[in-house]
Amino acid sequence: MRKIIVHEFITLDGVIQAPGSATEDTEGGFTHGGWTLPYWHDEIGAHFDQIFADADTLLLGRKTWQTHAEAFGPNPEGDPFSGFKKYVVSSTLESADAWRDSNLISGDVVNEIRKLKSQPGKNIIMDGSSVLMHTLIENDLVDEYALHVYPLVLGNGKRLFPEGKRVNLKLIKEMSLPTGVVYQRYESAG
Amino acid sequence: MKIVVTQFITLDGVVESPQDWSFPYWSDETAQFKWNELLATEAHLLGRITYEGFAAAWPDRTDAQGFADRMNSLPKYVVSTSLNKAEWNNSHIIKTNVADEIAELKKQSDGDILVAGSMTLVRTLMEHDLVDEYRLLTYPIVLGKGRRLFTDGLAASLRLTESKPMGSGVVLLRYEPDRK
Repeated sequence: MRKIIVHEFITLDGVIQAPGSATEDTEGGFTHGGWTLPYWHDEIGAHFDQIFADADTLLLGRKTWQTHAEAFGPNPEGDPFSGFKKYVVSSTLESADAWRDSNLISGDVVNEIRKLKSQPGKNIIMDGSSVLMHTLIENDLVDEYALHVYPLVLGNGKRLFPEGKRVNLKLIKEMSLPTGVVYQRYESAG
Repeated sequence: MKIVVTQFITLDGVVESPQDWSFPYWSDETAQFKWNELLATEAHLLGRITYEGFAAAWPDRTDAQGFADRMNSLPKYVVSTSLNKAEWNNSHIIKTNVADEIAELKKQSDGDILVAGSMTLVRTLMEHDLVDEYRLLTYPIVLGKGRRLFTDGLAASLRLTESKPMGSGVVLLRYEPDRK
């Protein structure tokens, strides 16, 4: 069975909204967008490379998919997800043509994702996608969390973990970077 | 004195009632850390609810190490507008001018003042920039319910001073305020 690996940039208060730029996602009046930028370290990129090396599929919610599609759809040469199969989960999107190799999952999400996991292939990566993430966590579909924990408390914004769901994990890797980011990898402990 | 906020915390930021979820992950490293922490402590600063929980639990306890003895003998400062009596040994009530009283307390010596639990008090301390260090024993669980350490509307930039695996999947994260 392929694994679903969640990667998130996350603050000490659990916020994952708009890590990369001010305009990425301002929903709910969020004004802290781009909070990861001052803490960049090349090791973060290396962690991505490691995760990507064992994966061939990207699973995203509509908003995160659209952000990526706008950035990389018209720009095949600069697309870091080139060669990846993409799945976007949305009940409103009519087509996933805006980004190469994208497929739309529009109904029966949990079963569709179970099917995806049982197909042959390498790991499936998720990032961002706070709404879809909650559905997956609530249905015990996440196998691993790779978290870059930032030394920040933001006070508002979308959170990684949903209310009302207990999850037991096992720590498999822990290291800190000189910029104060801590990398923690956990796998599901059932 | 230095105000040290020390917490058992889940991956979703919950710090309420750690006695209900932290015990399965207890380790020699965690025990040693809590003991060293207590030895460096000169006083406890607590909110009312955490104080009442401690005051009900600690006075009757003893152990070979002397952990309970030290808990019971150290000065305790409890912040509460409603409490009239604080009967746990060596307790003092701070009722008014909380930020000023605590700023005054910090000038008295060089040891640590430990703040455990006490979520409402932690918020007050953060609002007045009175916290000097955070020690977060981060547990490999998500609870999905319970009170969080960092509540909405509260922001802080911190500086990582240490991160260390403590056995059983627990990670110690230590931060200081980034006062730039």
